[in-house]
This record gives sequence, structure tokens and C-alpha cells, in this order.
Amino acid sequence: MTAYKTGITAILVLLSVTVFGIGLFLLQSPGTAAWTPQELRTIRSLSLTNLPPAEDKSNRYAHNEKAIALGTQLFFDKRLSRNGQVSCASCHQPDNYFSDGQTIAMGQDIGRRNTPSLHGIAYNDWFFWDGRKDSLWSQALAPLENPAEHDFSRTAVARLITGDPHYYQAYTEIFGSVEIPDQQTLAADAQPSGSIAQIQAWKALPEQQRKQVDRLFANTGKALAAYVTTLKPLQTRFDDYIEALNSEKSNNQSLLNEQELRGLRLFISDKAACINCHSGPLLTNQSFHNIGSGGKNDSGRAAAISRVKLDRFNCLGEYSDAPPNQCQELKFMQTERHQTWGSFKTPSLRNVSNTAPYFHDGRYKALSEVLDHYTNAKTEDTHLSVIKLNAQDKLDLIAFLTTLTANQ
Amino acid sequence: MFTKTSTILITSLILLSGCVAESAPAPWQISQTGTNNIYQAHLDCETQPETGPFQNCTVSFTDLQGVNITPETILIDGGMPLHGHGLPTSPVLTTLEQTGTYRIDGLKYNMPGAWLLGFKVSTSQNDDKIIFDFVI
Repeated sequence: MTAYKTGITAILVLLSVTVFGIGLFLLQSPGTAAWTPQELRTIRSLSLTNLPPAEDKSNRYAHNEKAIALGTQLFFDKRLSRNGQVSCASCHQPDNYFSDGQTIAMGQDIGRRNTPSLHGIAYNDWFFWDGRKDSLWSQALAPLENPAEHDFSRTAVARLITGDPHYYQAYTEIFGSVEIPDQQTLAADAQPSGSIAQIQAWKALPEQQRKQVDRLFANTGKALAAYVTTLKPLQTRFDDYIEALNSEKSNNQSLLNEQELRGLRLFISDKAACINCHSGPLLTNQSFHNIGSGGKNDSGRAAAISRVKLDRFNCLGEYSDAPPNQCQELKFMQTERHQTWGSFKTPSLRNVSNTAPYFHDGRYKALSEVLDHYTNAKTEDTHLSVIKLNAQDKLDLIAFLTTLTANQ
Repeated sequence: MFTKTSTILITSLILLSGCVAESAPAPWQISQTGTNNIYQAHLDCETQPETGPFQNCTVSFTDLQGVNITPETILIDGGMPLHGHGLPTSPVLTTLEQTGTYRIDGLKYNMPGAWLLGFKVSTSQNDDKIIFDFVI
């Protein structure tokens, strides 16, 4: 009988603990209603704490302190441009979340696409809006040779690095002094693509010198990438809210207001479906989607597939530090043009309210216009499903999106 | 009585702990018969399908009696019909030593929702299309 009573008591204690736990959960629950366990899992999946250190197997110098120091200097050095007026920081401005606030990037000339922010960019699988580069170091090389950006050239980069005593010393300390092209015999303005004169000058170089220049060029990109890898995602009010949820503190309700919580609920709901693509700690699924923004003027990912496949600076190329089995994204990328036509990379939403304008071509100046795009978009020939939001829904979503912006 | 009480206690504790403990990644084993009702495909994956990482799987094919077959050609395809797009990657099948079993490399999913993953198998005798449909 005593044992029976003990059993009943034990069950009652367990039930009490369970009820107390549920009560505590409800007390902690934010907003107008408690989060369901599924909603909580989804919200927690967006936490920065889920991010491992950024890794790039193709760049063994990504976390090298000396490479970071060299990359920092190169990033802000305007001598890496034809007119001496453009550095990486000209468009990736530190005071603007490493973006520029312009519709289209402007270097030596008007560019083609909007400048993305660089915070957390090292976590990307693909780079540029169309993913025509598969590593951060390889991406960093393209603007240097682009006539609309730095309009420098491959041999001009090599001449600057080898001709500047400080850069030369820093470079050789990191990458060694083997395979350094001879400064005296190096053509001033040569690269394998560009003007006819640049291409002819490149072809006139001895093969060994071309390889030396390519090696130095790739290493320059690896140093730049080492610096950009240090630009980590910034802690936001939304991250504070998730941490408060996780730490079981009861003061989390004050971190997001009622409207922001309604926006969060919409964000993760099937109704707004933002979470379908803006998922994970960086609020991007790292994938390419046709949301009706591309088309006749810009086929997006479809035009980038062969470029990244044939790129000598890709993950499988001779300047990559990755073994081939670490190049899964490149090896198994979707290569069907009709599937990728008009698709662009899902951008991160971190700092979104302070990094306007939006979309690959910077067509929208306000988040309200972006939301209007989704509710008005045609679903045929795109990856979108029907999204219906009323005016209040949109205001709530925008309120939530502002919580994803960090103080700089 | 003591045994009963202990059983109740242990059962309750297990039930409670199940509410809070994170479950270990579960393998995903699933079979499907083809639309022509000739062949079956058997998927054996290390993890459940989820958005993000590559999913490591093998696939084998049998007739309806469970006898392994070795198709002359196998095509793999998939996607999200509701969103009008295919797989984000181009998975590749590699023959393994075990007859009729293939490793799938490069398989991943990029959105939650309803997915299809299909195999078109052709032997010298027949063709069949085997389609798995599942929700992430």
C-alpha cells in the first residue's frame, strides 16, 4: 500500500513538474500568443550561435594573421586601380555595412549589379549575384580586372605587389619567394581577357611568366579574402531575442515589440513564406531562385554556369588549395540552363533595413516595394507561390526586418 | 507493487525526457514502386531529408519480387512542382561493389515543402519511373 501511495505521489510530482514547465513556457512566450515547438525550432535555426567558423578549403590562408594584415591593406589601397581612385572599399564601404547605397555599383564606370554587403559573406557557397565565382578569394580577383570597377590588370597587380617593398616583404613572408614574376620584364598591362591590346600582351608573355602572374594574382585574392573573412555577421536585436529565449530568462518580451513579433510570426509562416528561402543564421539558403526579377536583360545564374566551370581560379583549378573531394558545390552544381534562367542568389537579410536598394539591379529603394513585388509577382515561370499580405502584414514584416539590422 | 511503481516512474521519466532531449539524426530508408509497376527503388540515406547539407544516400533497384536488377541506364531528377523548380544540384550515381546498389553524390534540397525525387530505370526488357514524394 505504501509503495502504491509512493507511486501515486511520484506521478503527481511528475505531472506538477510538467504543468509547471508548460506554465513557465507560456510565461516566457513572446507576443500575443506562445510559440509552438515547431515555431521555436524555426526561430532558433536563425540564431548566429548556429554558425560554425567560416571555412574555405580552397584558401589555406583564410585565417592566416599575416594574410589578414596584407589583405586589409590591399582592400583599402586605391593604387589597385587604373586611375588610382578605386579600392575595394570604394563600393564596400565600412560605414555602410561594406555596401554603398547605390542602385548599381560605380567604379571606373557604371557597373551591372548592386553592391552586396560583406558581413558574413565568407559563409557563402557562391559569390556575385549569379554565383559566377565559387570562393571568396576567386571572387576578389574579378573586380580588379573589370573595366567598370578597378580596371586594373593582372600584370599591373603583380607589378604593384613586387614593386612595393612593403607589399613584397609581406607577400613573400606569407606565400614564399618562389614563382615571383620578374618585375623588370613584366608587361605593364596584360591579362587573358580584356582589351585586344591586353590580351595580345598576355599572349606575348612566356608561359612560365603567365603562370607566375596567375599564382601571384590568386594569392592576392587569398589575402583579400582573409581580410573579408574577418567581417563576421553582427549581433542584432533579433539575435538577443533568440538568446533570451534560449537562456530561459523571462525578460525577452521587451526585446521585440508586439508589431515586430507579429512580423516574425509572419516571416516564418506559410502565409508570407519568407523563411522558404531566407533561412538559416544568415537568412539565406545560399541558393539561386527565379523570383521574376531577371529575364531578357539578365539571365542571371544561367549565364554564370559555364563561366564558373571553366574558371581557372575555381575550386578544382590548380591555384585552389582544396582536394577535389572538397569541391562538392562546384562538382554537383545545377547545370541546366532552363532551370537556372533568371535566377539570382538569395541575399542575406542581415542589416537589410540599412542596405537599400534591393535586388540584383537595385531596382527597389524601400522594403515596402520589395514586399509589393512578392505579392504582385506572377507565379508562372518563377519559383514563387502565391503570397497574399495585407497592408498591416507588410508593416509588421518590415518592423521585424528592422530587428535584423545591427549597430555598426 | 514495487515493480509496478518503478515501471510507472521509469515510463514517466522516459516520456518526460523525450520532451526535452534532442534526438540523434535518424537514417532514412524508404522504398517505392514504379509508375509502370515493374521495378522498385530502395533509398538508404544516412539522414532524413533536410534543407542545406548534402544528403548521403545509396539506392538499389529490384523487381517486385525483391530480386536485384542492374539497369542499363538510370536517370535521377527531382524538384518542387509547387515552386516550379528542380533540384538545386545535379546528383550523380556511382556503381558500388554490391550488385545493383549505387551511391548518390551531390544530392541536396534548398527549401522546405513538398519534394519529388525520381529515378528513370531502363533494362533491356522494361522501363519504369520511380518517384519518391516527401515533405521537408
